Amino acid sequence: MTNYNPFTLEGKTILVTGASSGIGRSAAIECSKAGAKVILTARNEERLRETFSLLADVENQPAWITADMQRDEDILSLVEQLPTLDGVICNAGVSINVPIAFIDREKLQQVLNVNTIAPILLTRQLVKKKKVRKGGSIVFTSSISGNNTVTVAHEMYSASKTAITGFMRNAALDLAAKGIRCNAVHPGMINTPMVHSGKYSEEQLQKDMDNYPLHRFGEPEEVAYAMIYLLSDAAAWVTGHSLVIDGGLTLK
Amino acid sequence: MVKNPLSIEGKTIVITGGASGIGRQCAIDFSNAGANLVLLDINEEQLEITKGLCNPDVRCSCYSCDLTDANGMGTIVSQVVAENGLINGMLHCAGIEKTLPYNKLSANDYDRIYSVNVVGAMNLLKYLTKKNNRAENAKYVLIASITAVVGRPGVAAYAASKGAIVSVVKTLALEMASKGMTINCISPGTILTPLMQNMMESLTEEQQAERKAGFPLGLGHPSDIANTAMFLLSDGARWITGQNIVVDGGYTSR
Repeated sequence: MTNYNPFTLEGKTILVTGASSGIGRSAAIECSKAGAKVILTARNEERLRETFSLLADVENQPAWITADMQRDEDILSLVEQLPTLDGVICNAGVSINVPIAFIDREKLQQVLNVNTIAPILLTRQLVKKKKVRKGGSIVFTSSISGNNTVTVAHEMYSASKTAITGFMRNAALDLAAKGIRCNAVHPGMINTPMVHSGKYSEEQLQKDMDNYPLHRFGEPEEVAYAMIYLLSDAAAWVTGHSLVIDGGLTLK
Repeated sequence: MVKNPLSIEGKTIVITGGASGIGRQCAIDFSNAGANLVLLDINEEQLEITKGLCNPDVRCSCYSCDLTDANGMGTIVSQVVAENGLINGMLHCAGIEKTLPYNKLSANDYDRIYSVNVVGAMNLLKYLTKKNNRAENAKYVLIASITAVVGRPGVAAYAASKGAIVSVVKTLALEMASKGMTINCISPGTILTPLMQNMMESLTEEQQAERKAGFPLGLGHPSDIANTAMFLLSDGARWITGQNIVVDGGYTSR
């Protein structure tokens, strides 16, 4: 028999935040295909329902839980409703890119709230309520932005993503005593609705793409596969790591 | 059943240093995951023992080979491809070290260590990556070390060679990208290979504790490295290139 698969998520229950679109949706689907029970959460019920319908083995998947991670009471109630988890993907994210002169408190707070404060407070609550099993794995969706490269007008986004990577590294050390691993993925540009929302012109996108050594943007599944690796027992000795998934962009 | 994107089933993978330690465990785990193997090592006898430990349901070919023999490499690779078909991936585990304070190391020590740990891999890649020898989207993984990232007294020559691996992977990734190939490295912390296990057993309890200190998740097992290598050699890792994946139980994140 040659069916050894250290990447299986059979028997594992994984929480995915920001599961209504993009990387989060793909991560949820791929985790379900890898055998996991996936608990989806996001604000938008309709799109959560859509992600749910795309899960493998959907009749045996647990129900999704709508929550707005910017509200403390939603985080508390979400965590209250959760079973003990084997894995968490803290993925919900937002990007607002404006030149420095156009930064204001409201925009900055929004970016930090979604990308930094919410995943930190969720992790806090999960740990406090002992909802992550020994041997469990938490994966944060960070970014190459700020961590591995810089781009004009991405200051707020970079600040939020370097902050979550910083949190992850400390949390890795802190939670090692409980046998819980923490890692981050640092994706480059991924073909998601966020990228194709009209924020960038098609011309700009083509120019950006040519800048990638592998001459394309990444696909959401390519981030999802790395998350599966980090969630699985294959990565049982990997913690505090930032896994760059960028088609070689930041090597240059 | 959908195909597992993280699987290496059916791929033909070359492993250097397959006669012992991490290389041997990678061979065993890869064979259980359904990969066909080409094992290279200078130690033919131990290589055959590795083969005996591998899953008999896959093809496993052994070649006695000195990676530092640049002239002979082309011939070996031609023979490997003729007998095993196009190569999907390579994992460079072969490595030597010498623990001595820097002021006791000779130029010859540096030469010997660098020639196996670094140049050996480059000799092999030069031929493996030729169009007629590689399958589409071939992937390569080199074993570096956390001593490439953090300091450890007594391993100057080894650390220098492993640092070279981390650097060279970035350049090679860019050179290989246009041809659809990827290359990455893995930096293991202290792994309990049989050799390390024996070494640990020879230490006093205090020395053992010192050796384990700094690893928040304890010491690693050879399969921890094999699993990460398997991921990087799978199609699932196709957008990851030029990276150094640190597999160290949290040692360097402290």
